[in-house]
Amino acid sequence: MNLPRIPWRAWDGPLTTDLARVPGGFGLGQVPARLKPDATTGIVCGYCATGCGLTAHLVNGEAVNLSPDPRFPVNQGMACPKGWEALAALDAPDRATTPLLRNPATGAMEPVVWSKALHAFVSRMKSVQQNWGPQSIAFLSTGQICTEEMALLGALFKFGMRGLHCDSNTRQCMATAHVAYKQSLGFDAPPYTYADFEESDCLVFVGSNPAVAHPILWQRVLQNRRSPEIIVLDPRRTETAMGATLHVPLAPKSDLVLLYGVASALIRRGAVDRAFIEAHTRGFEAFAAAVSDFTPEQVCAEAKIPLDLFETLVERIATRPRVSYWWTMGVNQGHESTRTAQAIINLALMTGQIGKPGTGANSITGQCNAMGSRLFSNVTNLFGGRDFADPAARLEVESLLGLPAGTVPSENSWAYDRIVDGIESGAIRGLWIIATNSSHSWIQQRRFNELLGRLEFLVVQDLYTTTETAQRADLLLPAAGWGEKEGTFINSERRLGLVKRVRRPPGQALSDFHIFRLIAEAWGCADLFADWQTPEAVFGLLKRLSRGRPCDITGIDGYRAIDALGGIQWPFSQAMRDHVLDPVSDASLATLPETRAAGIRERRLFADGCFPTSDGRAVFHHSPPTPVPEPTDPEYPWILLTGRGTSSQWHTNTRTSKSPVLRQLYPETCYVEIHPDDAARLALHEKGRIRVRSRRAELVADAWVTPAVQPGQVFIPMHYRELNPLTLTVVDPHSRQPSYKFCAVALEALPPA
Amino acid sequence: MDAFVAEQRRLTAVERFSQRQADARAPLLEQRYRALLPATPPGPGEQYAFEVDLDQCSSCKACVVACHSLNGLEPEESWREIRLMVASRPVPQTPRPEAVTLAVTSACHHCVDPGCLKGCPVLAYEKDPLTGIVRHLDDQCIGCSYCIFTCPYEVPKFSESRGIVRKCDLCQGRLQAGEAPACVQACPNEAIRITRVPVAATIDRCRGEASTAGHRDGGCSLPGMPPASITVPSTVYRSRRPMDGLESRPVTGTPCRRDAHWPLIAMLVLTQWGGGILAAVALGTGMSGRIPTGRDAAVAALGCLWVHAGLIASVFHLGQPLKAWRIWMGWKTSWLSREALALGAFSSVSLLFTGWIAGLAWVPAFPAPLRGFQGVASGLLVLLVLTTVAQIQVYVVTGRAGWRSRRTGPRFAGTVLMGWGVGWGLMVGPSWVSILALLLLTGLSMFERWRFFAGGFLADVDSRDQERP
Repeated sequence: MNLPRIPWRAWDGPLTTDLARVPGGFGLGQVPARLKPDATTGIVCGYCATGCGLTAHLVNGEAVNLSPDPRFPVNQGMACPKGWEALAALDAPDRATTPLLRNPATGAMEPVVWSKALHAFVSRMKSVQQNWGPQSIAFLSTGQICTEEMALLGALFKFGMRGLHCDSNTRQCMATAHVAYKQSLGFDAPPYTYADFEESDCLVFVGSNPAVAHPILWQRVLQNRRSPEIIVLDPRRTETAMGATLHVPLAPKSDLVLLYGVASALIRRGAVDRAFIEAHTRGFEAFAAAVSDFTPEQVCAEAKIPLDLFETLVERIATRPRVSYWWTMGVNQGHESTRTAQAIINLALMTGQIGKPGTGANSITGQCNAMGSRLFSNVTNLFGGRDFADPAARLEVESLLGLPAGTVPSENSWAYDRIVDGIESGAIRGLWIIATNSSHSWIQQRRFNELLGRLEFLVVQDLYTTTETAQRADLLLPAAGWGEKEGTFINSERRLGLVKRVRRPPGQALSDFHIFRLIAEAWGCADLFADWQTPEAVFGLLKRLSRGRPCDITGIDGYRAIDALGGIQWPFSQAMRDHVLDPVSDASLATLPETRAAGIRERRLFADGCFPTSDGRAVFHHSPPTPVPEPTDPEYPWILLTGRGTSSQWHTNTRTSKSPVLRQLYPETCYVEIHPDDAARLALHEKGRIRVRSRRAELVADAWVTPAVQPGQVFIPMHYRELNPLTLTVVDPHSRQPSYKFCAVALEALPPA
Repeated sequence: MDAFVAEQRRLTAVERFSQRQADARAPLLEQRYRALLPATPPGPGEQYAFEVDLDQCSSCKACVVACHSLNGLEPEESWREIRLMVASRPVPQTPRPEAVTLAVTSACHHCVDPGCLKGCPVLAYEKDPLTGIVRHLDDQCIGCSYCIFTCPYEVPKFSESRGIVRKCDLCQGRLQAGEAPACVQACPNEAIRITRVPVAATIDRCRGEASTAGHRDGGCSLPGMPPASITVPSTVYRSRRPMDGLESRPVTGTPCRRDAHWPLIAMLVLTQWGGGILAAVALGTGMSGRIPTGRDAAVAALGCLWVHAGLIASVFHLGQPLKAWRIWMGWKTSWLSREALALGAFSSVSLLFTGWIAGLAWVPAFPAPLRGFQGVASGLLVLLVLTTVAQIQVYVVTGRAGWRSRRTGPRFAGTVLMGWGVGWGLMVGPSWVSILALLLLTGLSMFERWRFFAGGFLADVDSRDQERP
């Protein structure tokens, strides 16, 4: 039917055309006509470790838009707001476009050319080393750069610059999972694949809020067609808890007690897999004896939950055929986090719920490449999950990389907190911070920032000149970001994904890879890195380093194969490649037909019950629970919890604050979640503000009254810089990961601003 | 070093990697969203509508950003938004956890009786008779923003850079091609779908006897939302959860500040004051048969100046002032159009009146008869009444609590009456005192009108005040 057209109405024109949509081709459906691509390419997202595949819409090779990749096995065409807006972070006006060097006379940061910046870097770092010893320089790196870049950095620093102490912000998120897996299973090997979300009958989330922190993993949970029990152990009624079938609102940091209680109850019920325990584990009897004292009554009193809720929890875990356990920062960031993570692993081991579809003790990773850092950054572990203390491993690495004997140090590096202590004691005098915002994110922030002032030389390598850390630098090196460089990430389920160059960085900014190579050159150790010319060449070295290790990736041809197959999970050894590839018909992995590619797309570990420990058995680790280091008292009667605020915010908000559309999806100013009863007790005004005071600092924030938190607890999202001055320096003794999840605070109601 | 910088700027992804999807014609996501679209277009008596399953929504907000990206909108622009509904009281512990926070995603509701369309003075809205999609004609729009007032949900958004409003078109072209709208495509949990809804039943649900029926029956009445009776929104929200005790909160925590619309405030205040002054002169001279004096003429000129200053100010309110001539086109439904017509006529007659009175007062042997002058004066008064009624109606018909008739009527009429009082004072009283009073009171009225405007904006009104006016 033709609409009656009134001639004086403008049905078309420039403003209408502005919004026209046209078929985009490339399987995209309609796209804005202004942004119609002439090519597309896949790129893995650079925010979290979900590792979603995105499709970059290219015009002349440059990305003009993004959409989630429907063929990528992880996210199946979906993305969270951060992924959709990933390009916005690159367009920010506060990008660092040239090196900046602090003028000692004026104190101002002044633009310098790269050669001068490199000279300053090398001469001042070397001078620190000359005066205070080679180990007086350190670096703090990240889980946000490519594996090849991390590998080059770790090699450059330890082999070329002869430094020792270095760590990365993965200490703040995944160190616990790393240590827990390594001790219990023999290798840092999250055993699952994302299909396990869909194949489980009972998903137990411990200190994990995937609905907000990993929205695409939550999508996979909701795609589960087995009517699963979804059990959430969390003090807060999070978005995930609201979507659960059972929410256990345990008291903060009663998790270890509760998990031991569950183990004890399962043993008493006989709901354990004796055959699996006997064939594949070690130390169960001692564990069973240790947890036998954890009676339901005692556990419930400590966790502050009703007895029938505890019994329901045990009942569901005991009776559902496939049980999977998932944990995130609620576990990893605690004062006894390694044992807590291992309590989860113990539950899976004693019930034989590992290595089969829909099971596993599964750590959900935080940063996009924390997994790459854990395997190949040469920081806490020698390349490929080896030990620096192991002479054979050192020799092996030296020979694989063609390094002179004795190049690999035999000592372990200090962890993040010890490096910070080292600045205080004067042992560390030069610090290089790469792609992390420590001045915002590290615990007891005020102390940290005061200590930065004691350094003789602080170098910050970042995308932006405006981060809290960059503003304190003596030298700022301008880095290219995600999407402006090439390399691989490894996601939570051990999938290697590819990052490509689809944008030009501003000004003189260079990829971290190039910066490290320039520093190697300027330092005079470039000859050690003659084989480290390009990211893909380094990928070849990493393959070599992985041979025979549990993380063997020798079967991956190269970047094209990763790109074509929608990522490849480790392990993928040469033998596996030979098995899947038909030597006659298949030219390469990159052209593998879909029928056979599907067979290697989702793989889990330990189906045979063999673990990479010395005797092939998984180990039960446990310790008696200890009280929190800073319990509440009459002076500081509230518990401060921290965590992710919304799905539109990431860490210290340096990137997510660059997108105007994301900014509309979260509160701009710091806020405190507080229970209505507590708000009434404080006589808090409806639109009032709260002063939150800990023994270390105080902040003022907007009150967000909600029964999502329990009385006696408040929650502040980690994205606001006001928060971390309040947190205290407590680390887990095994993983040395800081505890962000519990400190005592006092509250005071303030009138509206 | 230069080589590195040069290499860094070379984009090679296209050459180096295969183009797996180069030959894909159909959208790759089609399989996934097919079930979220109706199999056939709406039949007679039906229209398209969004249906939102609040229980499926995990509040990830991807829909908001996907709308922005897939429609190529401005950096801060999206046609979808999220509000939160938060429990204000403790929720009892139950084995199956009740919600304490719900995210409510909303876009244009493609109303059966769209307030934007009725309010638009230039016919820049079209409700498609087949699909029910309420479409905005961007090139027709003059950027008056009145549709933002007449839409109870404030769906149209003003674009500063373009000087027009833009809004959701339900991705009309995508639907025509069998594709899902951006938000439907992007929801990881399939919480948003497109349905066909019967129009009569929608009207009945929103305006009929049982119009209190809430979300459980599938409706568009959630806590904190304006009454569905105003525009009969087609969106259907579903949830199995109780909504009692939930209160609406903006997702950013604080309501966004609205522009003060100073040109509009100046227009209202100045035309009403000026109109009142002219009325005083008309009543004191023409209507009473008195021969006007020079002072009468000066006062009339002052009133005329006020009115036209207001009219000129109103042009600065428009994003597309060159298209302002279209403003009469919506007279059949739009009170803004009627206000403009009435004001236009009032402006012409006030000029005639002022010229006439000046002639009578200052030109010896002015040829125009007094009788005709009386006609002009009475016409002026009639038009002033019409203009004021239109000005009041412009705000009352928005259905907003802060602009209900008992708030708007006395304010606007009162301003005209005060103008009359001051005008009378100017004609008979001490002139400097009256002029000072006029300037002071005009300023005070501006401030009062600013408060009045703020009271009508959705975000600034307490949700409890949103009952039907």
